[in-house]
Amino acid sequence: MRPIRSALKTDTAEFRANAAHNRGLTDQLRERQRAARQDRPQRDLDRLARQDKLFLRDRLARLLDPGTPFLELSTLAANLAYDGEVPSGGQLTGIGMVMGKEVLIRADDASVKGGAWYPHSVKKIVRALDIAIENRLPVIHLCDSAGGFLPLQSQFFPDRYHAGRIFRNQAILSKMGVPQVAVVLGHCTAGGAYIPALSDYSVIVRGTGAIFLGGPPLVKAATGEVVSVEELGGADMHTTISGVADIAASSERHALALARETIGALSPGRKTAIDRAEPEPPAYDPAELYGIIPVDARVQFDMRECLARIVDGSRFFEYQPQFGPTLICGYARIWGFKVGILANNGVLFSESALKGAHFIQLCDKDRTPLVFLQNITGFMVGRDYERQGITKDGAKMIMAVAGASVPKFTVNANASFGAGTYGMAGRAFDSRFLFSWPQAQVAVMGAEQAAGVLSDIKIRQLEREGRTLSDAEAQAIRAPVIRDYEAQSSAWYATSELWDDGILDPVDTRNALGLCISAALNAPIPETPHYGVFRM
Amino acid sequence: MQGYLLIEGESHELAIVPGAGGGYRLPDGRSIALLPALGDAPAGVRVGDRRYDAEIAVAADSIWVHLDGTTYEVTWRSDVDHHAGVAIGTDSGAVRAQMPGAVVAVLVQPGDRVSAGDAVVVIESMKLETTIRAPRDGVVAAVDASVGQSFERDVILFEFVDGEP
Repeated sequence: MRPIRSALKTDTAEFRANAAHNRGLTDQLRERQRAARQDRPQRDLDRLARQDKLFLRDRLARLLDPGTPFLELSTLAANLAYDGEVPSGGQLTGIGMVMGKEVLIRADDASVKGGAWYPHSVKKIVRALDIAIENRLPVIHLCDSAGGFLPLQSQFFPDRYHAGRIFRNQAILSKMGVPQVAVVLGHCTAGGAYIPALSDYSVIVRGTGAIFLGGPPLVKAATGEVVSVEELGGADMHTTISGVADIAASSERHALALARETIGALSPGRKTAIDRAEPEPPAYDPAELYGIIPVDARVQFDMRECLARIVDGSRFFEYQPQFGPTLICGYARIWGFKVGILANNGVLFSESALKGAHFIQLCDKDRTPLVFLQNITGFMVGRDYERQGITKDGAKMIMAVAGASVPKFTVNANASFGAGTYGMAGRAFDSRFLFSWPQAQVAVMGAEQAAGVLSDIKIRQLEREGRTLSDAEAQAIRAPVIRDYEAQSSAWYATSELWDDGILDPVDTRNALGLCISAALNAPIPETPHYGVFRM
Repeated sequence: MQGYLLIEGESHELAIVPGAGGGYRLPDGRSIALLPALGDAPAGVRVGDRRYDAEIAVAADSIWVHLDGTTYEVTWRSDVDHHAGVAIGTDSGAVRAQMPGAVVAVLVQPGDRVSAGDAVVVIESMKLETTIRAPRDGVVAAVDASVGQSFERDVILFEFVDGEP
C-alpha cells in the first residue's frame, strides 16, 4: 500500500488557530478526566481510610500487569448528570492486561456515594458486560457498593436494560464459557450479592467484605434477629459454610493478588487470526490532527489528512477513489491489523452510499474489520436526488452496516447527524466500540435547523393569536432553543449519557483502535456473511 | 519491490527481491547491501562483489548519496505513482460543482497561477462550507462563480489551463 501524500500546510494562520482551539479542548478533556478519577469529598476519603480500604485507582494499579496499557471506558459518564456528584457514574470500566490476558475490569467506586448504583451506573455496568459478551473478554468485578440508589429505582430497576440485565449478562457470559472473577472488597447487598454468586470465581476480604441478601438492619426489622455483619455474610462464613464465595483474603492487597492468580490459572482463549503485518507508525505526526480539525464545525476538511495521521505508515489503498468521492473507502493497517476504513468527506450521495454498501461487503467477505470515521451531516436532499432513489441507496448502506459480521469500530471525528449516523455505524448498529473526539456533535439534525423548526412552530402559534413578532423577539425565542440543542448535541453530553464509550484525545485514536481491535479478536468472526434484502 | 528511482530528475526502473539469509538482491542475482561505517572503513554500498564508498543521508522523501565526489538526490517512486504521472494530461481544465449550493468566497482571479491543492473557491451546501481546490498546477483561465451566487449541480465553477499566465 502506498502512503497518503499530505497536502496539509502547517505554517498557516488557519492551522495555528485550529491547533490552539483543539489543544484547548484536549486540555479540558484531560482536566475533566482527572477530576472524575481523583477529586472526591474529603469525608469520603476519610471514611475509606478508616475502613482500611484502598482508593479505587490504587486497587486498579495493583490488579493490572505493570507497565501495560489500560483503556478506560466512559470516564466522563454522568459528568452532566446529578449536578456532577456522581463522577464516572460511580463505576470504573476498561480493558487491560492481567497475567498477560486481555480482561475487562468493572469496579464500584466506594468513594462516590458509597458505591451506590445510579441509573447511569447501571447503564455503564450493562454496557461493560455487553462488551465482555461481544468480545469474549474475561471479567474482573471489584465489588464495593452500597446497593441501588433507592430514590431513583424506577430509572434503573424494572426495564429490559436496567439492573436485571447485569445478572442476565453474567449468566450469558458463564454460558459462553467466558470466566468472571469477583473480588468482594466491601458489602454486596441485595441485588449486588448476585454479582459474586454469578461469577465463576470469587475472593472475599476478611473484615471489610460481606455478601448478603439483607444486611443486619433489614434482618432486625424483618424478623427481629440480631446478627453481626461477619456472622451474617462475612468472608469466613461464606468460604467455609455457605460456599457463596471461594477464597478468604486477609487484606485488599491479598485479595487482588489472589484475583491475579485466578486469572493466571485460566486457560487462554484462542484469538481469531486476521491479516496482520509488522506495525509501523504513521509517516505524519499525529499531533497535526489538532491543526486539521476546524474551529467551525461547518467547515469541511479532508479526512485523508486524518487517516494519514492514524494508520500504519500513512499507507492507504483507496477503493474507487473517483466514484462517490464524499465517502472515502479503502484498506489500511492499524497496529499491523488490516482494516477496511469508511470515512466521510462530505454529504452522502447515492453513489457514496452504494460504494459504502459495496465496500462493507468486500471487507466482510475478506474477514477484515471495519473502522468508521464519522464526519457526516446527512444524506443529500432535493428533487433530483429523491428521483434517483437516494433513500433506497441509503437503505442499502444501512442494510450492509447492520448485517456485516466482522467487528466494527466507530469514531465520531466531528459530526454525526440524522440518517448519516445510521449509515456510518452509529450507536444502534453494534460497533464493538464507539468513541468521540472532543468537538464532535451527534443529533438528529444540526442545531440551527432544529432551532429553526422548533422556533417557527412557536412563532406561528403566537401569530395565530394575532401577535406579530419583531426580529429581536423571534431571536429571543430561537437563542435558548439553539443553546439547549447545542448542549445536548455535544460530545460531553453524549459521553455523559453513555451514547459512546468515551471521548478520545485525537492523538490517542490510533492506540485506542489498536487495543480495541486486539480485544475484539478474542471473539470468533462468524463463518458466512449474510444480509437482509437490498432494495435495488 | 518494484518501482523507479528518480536520480537527479531521471527515472531508472528498479526491482529488488528477497535474497538468501534475509538480505536483498537484484533480479540478475547480484546481492546488495548497505555497509555502515566501521572503524577506519567508511560507509558504503555493496553490489555483487563490488564495494562502493558512499555517504548516504535520508531526509523526508529523498535520499542523498555522496559518491566519487558528487552528491546525487535520489527519490523512490512506486510503479503506481510512476505510471499515474505518465497518464496525466487527459484532464479537462473545468472544475464543476459536485452538488447544488452557493458561493461563499472566490480566492483567485483569472490569470493567477495555482498549484495543485490551492484553495480556489469556497462554497456552501447542505450547511457545510467546502473549499474547492485546484486539482493540478495551472493558470486560472476563468472564474465562473461570484460571491453569493447560487448554482446547480455540475455547473462549471472555474477553469484553468496549463502553461504561463
